[in-house]
Amino acid sequence: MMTSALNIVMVCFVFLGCIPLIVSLYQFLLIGLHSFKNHYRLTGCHFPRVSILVPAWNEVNVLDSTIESLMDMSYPKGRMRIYIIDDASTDATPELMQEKMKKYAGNVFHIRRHKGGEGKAHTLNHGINEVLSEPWSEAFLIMDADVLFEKNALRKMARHLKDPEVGAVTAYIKEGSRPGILMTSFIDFEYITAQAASRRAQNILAFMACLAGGAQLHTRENLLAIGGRIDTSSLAEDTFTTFKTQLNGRKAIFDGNAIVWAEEPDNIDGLWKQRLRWARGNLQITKQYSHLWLNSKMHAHLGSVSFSFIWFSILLMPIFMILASIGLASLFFLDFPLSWQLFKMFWILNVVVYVFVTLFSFLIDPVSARQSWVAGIVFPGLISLCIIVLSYIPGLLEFLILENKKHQTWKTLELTSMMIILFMYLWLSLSMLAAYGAKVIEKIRFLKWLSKPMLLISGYGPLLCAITFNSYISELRGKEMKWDKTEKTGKVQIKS
Amino acid sequence: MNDQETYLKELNEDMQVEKKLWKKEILVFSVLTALVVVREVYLNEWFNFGV
Repeated sequence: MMTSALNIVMVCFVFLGCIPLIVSLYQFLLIGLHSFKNHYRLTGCHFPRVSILVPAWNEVNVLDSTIESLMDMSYPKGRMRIYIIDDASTDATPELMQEKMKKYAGNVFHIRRHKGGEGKAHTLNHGINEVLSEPWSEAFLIMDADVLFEKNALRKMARHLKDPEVGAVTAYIKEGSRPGILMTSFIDFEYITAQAASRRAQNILAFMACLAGGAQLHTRENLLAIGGRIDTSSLAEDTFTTFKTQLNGRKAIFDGNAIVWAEEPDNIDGLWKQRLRWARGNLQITKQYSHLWLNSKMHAHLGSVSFSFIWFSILLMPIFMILASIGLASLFFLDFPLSWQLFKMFWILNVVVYVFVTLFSFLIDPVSARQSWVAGIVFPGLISLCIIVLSYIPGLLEFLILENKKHQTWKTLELTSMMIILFMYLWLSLSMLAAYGAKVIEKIRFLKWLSKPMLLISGYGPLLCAITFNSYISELRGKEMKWDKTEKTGKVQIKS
Repeated sequence: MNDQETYLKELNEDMQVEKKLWKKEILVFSVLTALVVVREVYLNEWFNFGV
């Protein structure tokens, strides 16, 4: 009786491991509907007076090209102003700004804080306070200092504001570092799935989890309604802004054809710091909006089952993976044939999701896919990829590992088979540990060369899971909220 | 080209991109179905692992 109850619990653990896969498939299945249900029909030729707010702290390497790309946009110059909000930079930002203000008088402005270092949200608020005090601005574009806008990106975002129900619009941020390397290729592919694909699905479901911090356009009314300032209490100010926009009854829209380019981290450590900040911010939001989850009375869309599933499938993914490993490993000893069936089922589901997501992502953004298709294929890591391929060919796993014998218990297994099976069962968790190992050895000078092969073996997906797990620890420990600035070097290029 | 014409041209291009999404989804479905058929029908025959 006790054993069968334990079996049921372990089976449930394995099923929990399937949740992120099912949610991922659910989102990708919705994307086709974007052909029929999108916001384009409600757009219009619309050029509000836009104040572009660019927070900058020691960004002289990138500001020149950013300002040039903004001034090169096909948006009426008389209807846009660029405000560089200088967070007391100690580099040559003031000198550069003198030059730019002279060159683009009436379009480019320099707002300088004399005491800085408090992070992006504080810097933005300083600029918003100044700019909002004048009635000129009808909309505000909040962006990052390294982001380059395609010529028509702002036009494409602004057309959605013709619909009075829209509070904010976000663009499709692509990784633009040239030359691309393994890490930036992974991010390139990740952004197809997480933005071009996932945010289209969110358009269908009428909610938005996050307006990209690097390119979000707000109406004046919306900015005033959310308090006329950016939240400073968390590390994910852009997600807070997104939630507040929608909770105030306004729409948040993603336009996948408004494209901007950003420079993303090119090493594991840089990515870890950036994503840890994001993941901790998401945990803070989860806590702050605890009354919202599965509460459709609070908000029809943000309180929906769909939104909670999508949100928590990402937030709790490391826990789901660990539970699935525990479930499989426990069932290995409790009921080996059942564990084997569940393992095969789990990985067959993985095959379906992997093929669907990877192939569809390549088709959604073929331009990025041409640069990042290898990263897309090895996204789950080489070992997981091997298990996916082995699971696809019927009978192969049994042939290789079980030598086609029926085992009613683990005790009849050869030692090697036992070790391999347990390794595969635990790989969902071990892959996160291996990804963390890749991060650790990246810092060791004589082992640094091993870091990339280790990342390839463990996978980029498990790396993101490991970072999320790290965020649990940081939040539990109440670690100081530090704004770890991502280093920008100015190697981003507009590719089209 | 004036702003209205540019807007309509861009809108049309973007709508075309969006309209292709469901066709791409059908294509991915087809590939997935083909993979299932290959697995269940052909791979079982080609790789006879004696299961």
